[in-house]
Amino acid sequence: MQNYFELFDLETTFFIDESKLKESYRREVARFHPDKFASKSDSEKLQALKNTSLLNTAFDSINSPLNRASYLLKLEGVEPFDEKDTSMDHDFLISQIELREELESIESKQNTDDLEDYLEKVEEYIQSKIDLIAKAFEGDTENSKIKKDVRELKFYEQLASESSKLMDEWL
Amino acid sequence: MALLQISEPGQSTAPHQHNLACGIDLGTTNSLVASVMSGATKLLLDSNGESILPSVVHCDPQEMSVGHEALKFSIKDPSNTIFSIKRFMGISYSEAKAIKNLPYELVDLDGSVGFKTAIGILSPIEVSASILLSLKNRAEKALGDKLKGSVITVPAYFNDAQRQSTKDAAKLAGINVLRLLNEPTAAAIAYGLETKEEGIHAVYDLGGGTFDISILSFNRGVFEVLSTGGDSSLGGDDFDNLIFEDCVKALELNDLYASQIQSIRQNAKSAKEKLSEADSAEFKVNQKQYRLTKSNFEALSESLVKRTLRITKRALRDANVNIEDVKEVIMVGGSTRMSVIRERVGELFEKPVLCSINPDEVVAKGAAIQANILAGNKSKDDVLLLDVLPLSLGLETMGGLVEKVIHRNTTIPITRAQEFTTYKDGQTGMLIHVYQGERELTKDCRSLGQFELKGIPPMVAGRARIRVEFQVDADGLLSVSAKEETSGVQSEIVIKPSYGLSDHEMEKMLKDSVVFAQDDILLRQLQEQRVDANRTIEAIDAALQADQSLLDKKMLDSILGARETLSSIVESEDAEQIKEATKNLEKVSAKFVEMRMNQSIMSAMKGHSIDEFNEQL
Repeated sequence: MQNYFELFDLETTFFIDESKLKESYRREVARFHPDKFASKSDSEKLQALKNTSLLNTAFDSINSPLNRASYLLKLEGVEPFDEKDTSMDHDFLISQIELREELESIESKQNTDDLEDYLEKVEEYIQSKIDLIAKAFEGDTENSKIKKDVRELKFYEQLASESSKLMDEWL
Repeated sequence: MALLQISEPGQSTAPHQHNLACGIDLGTTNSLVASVMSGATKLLLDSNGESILPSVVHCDPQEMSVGHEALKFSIKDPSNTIFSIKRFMGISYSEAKAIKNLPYELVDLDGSVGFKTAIGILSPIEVSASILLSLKNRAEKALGDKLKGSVITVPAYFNDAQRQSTKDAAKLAGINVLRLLNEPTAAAIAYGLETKEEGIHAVYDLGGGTFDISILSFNRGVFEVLSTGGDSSLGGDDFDNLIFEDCVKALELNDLYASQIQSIRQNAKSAKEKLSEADSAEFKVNQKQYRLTKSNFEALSESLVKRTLRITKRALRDANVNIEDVKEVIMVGGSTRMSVIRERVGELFEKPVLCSINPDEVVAKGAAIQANILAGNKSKDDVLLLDVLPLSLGLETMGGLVEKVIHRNTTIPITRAQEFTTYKDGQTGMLIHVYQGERELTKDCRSLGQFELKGIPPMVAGRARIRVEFQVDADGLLSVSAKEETSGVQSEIVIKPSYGLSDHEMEKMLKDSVVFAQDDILLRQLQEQRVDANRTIEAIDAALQADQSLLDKKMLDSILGARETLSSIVESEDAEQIKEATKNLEKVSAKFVEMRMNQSIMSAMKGHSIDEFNEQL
């Protein structure tokens, strides 16, 4: 089975050179972009559209650490975000509830400085989760353990995007 | 990787042949057209030597006029003189009703908006088409022949309905649309190619009726939009309106006539322009003097300015870019002449903004550069544009909630699929309602259209697998298809969102429209057919030149035969016959095109079909 890493001439690993990925993406998309087929026949245009869509999806799937880790798990047959599987670590859930409560209290006070500190804190959590996942991929950690960290990373990312949304509303 | 060689588009074109193409900036207040001529990008002028065409249409049973001519009627005949038509594109009747202080009579056309004028009820598409027609005629006159195609710019923040309406207006005006191009992206190309600057740039584009902010990275000819944000109903008009309302309040004016409204509006606009230089401005209404100081104006406009800055910050965050990473801030659009805008944007980015380029012209020039490339002409600059979807797309799930399928700022073109299932036993149909916007509830998003998937085989609830696929093309336009995938039973439907016109509606509008009464429809259709035929012939010739070896004799003969037939009648007067012969050539060469495509994709995707990858999504 071919995968998105190979499409960009990269090794199938969590530790990719992101600038190499970008370079490779630009090179491929330059060949297939619909703009290169604008004066061609309709069927060629449609094909160009499909090819570029695929390249965009592929790039997106392995560019960010969260997506890359989930994609690697999927390649191993592990679905990190299975809707039926809602199990989460108890302590992690408690910490999430506390973080949510903190955000609510910042929201009610409408304090921009507090929100900025909060965002920074969440970013730190995200970074340390990414480090943890990297370590897990480095060693021969079980997929189920990596899956747990990937799921938790997604929670933090969600929190970060909700707090930035709040920041937008206040600015 | 082992790669097959694919020739550059345009390479097969003989060196002396130049395909005529232009870029059109269809603005709220003013429109322009530009073209690349012998390597230089130039604005095309009208017979009076003017580059700017005011985006104004006067509807008169005697003679329709556009631009400067139409402008003369603004006070005399305000209800038939239509300004700022761009604000009405792709919006509903109720949204149009909410626009303040309009001198027109609006009509509800099945939920969309129409204008009641002396020549009948006109849709925004028709009014826009008449402006585009005027620009197209100007371009063909200046360039000396028929256009092969045009690039038309739209605000980056235009939603699907607004984009589709713009494309329909262009088609109605007989324009072959090579691409809808986002205005800030167009500005970035013109600026980037001229300065050869690399790195991250911000384009702050405040026009007459729309606001866009785009964060782009320029890298060796690749213009990559990292994020975009905006408000497609915030522009210079709104600043005029603030002055208008302040004036009405200050002078205690009531019961204004349409002509008075128009006259105060124009005075308000001049006052705004004056305040960029002077400390105060004044004008008279009904013998009463109205005066506005610069600081009063800044106080009035504070909330609008703040809104644009808030949107700018969000775009920076979406792009994952810090303020200090932004190399230059490019100001585009006539409204960025306001000193308050320049100052406040400069403060935000902690550096002076770039105003050395003409904010009115840069968009049309960028569009012309892109049009030249897309028309297949050789260009000294190898340019690739990677743009993004401005607003998230999704569909309605239970309880009036929107499930996002493609998120905003995703690079386009893009295809995404999502699976759904039935929720009742024996359910055989499913209503799929498509929305665009960031909010969670359907009522806060824009409905783009709905369709019903029928013929689902009766099954237990939750068993059916309905795969809904969203496809956004390089113009930012969406098409949706749905498929029921269980046990070999499939049904498929492709829709265009509800604001677009079908070919049939387009033809009817063209025939019935008063706007085009003076235009020779038949002649135009013939010309369009010829352009189409020539395009097909060129594409086949290029394909044969590159890959004739793929064909056996029988296939080659049938393609050459169809090509010969078409080329022998392409200059005849029979549009219908040309159309038939073009279709025939497309038909007999379809297999060949597919073979060539497969070959090139196989090389890129390393021997794997595209469907194999799509399974992994």
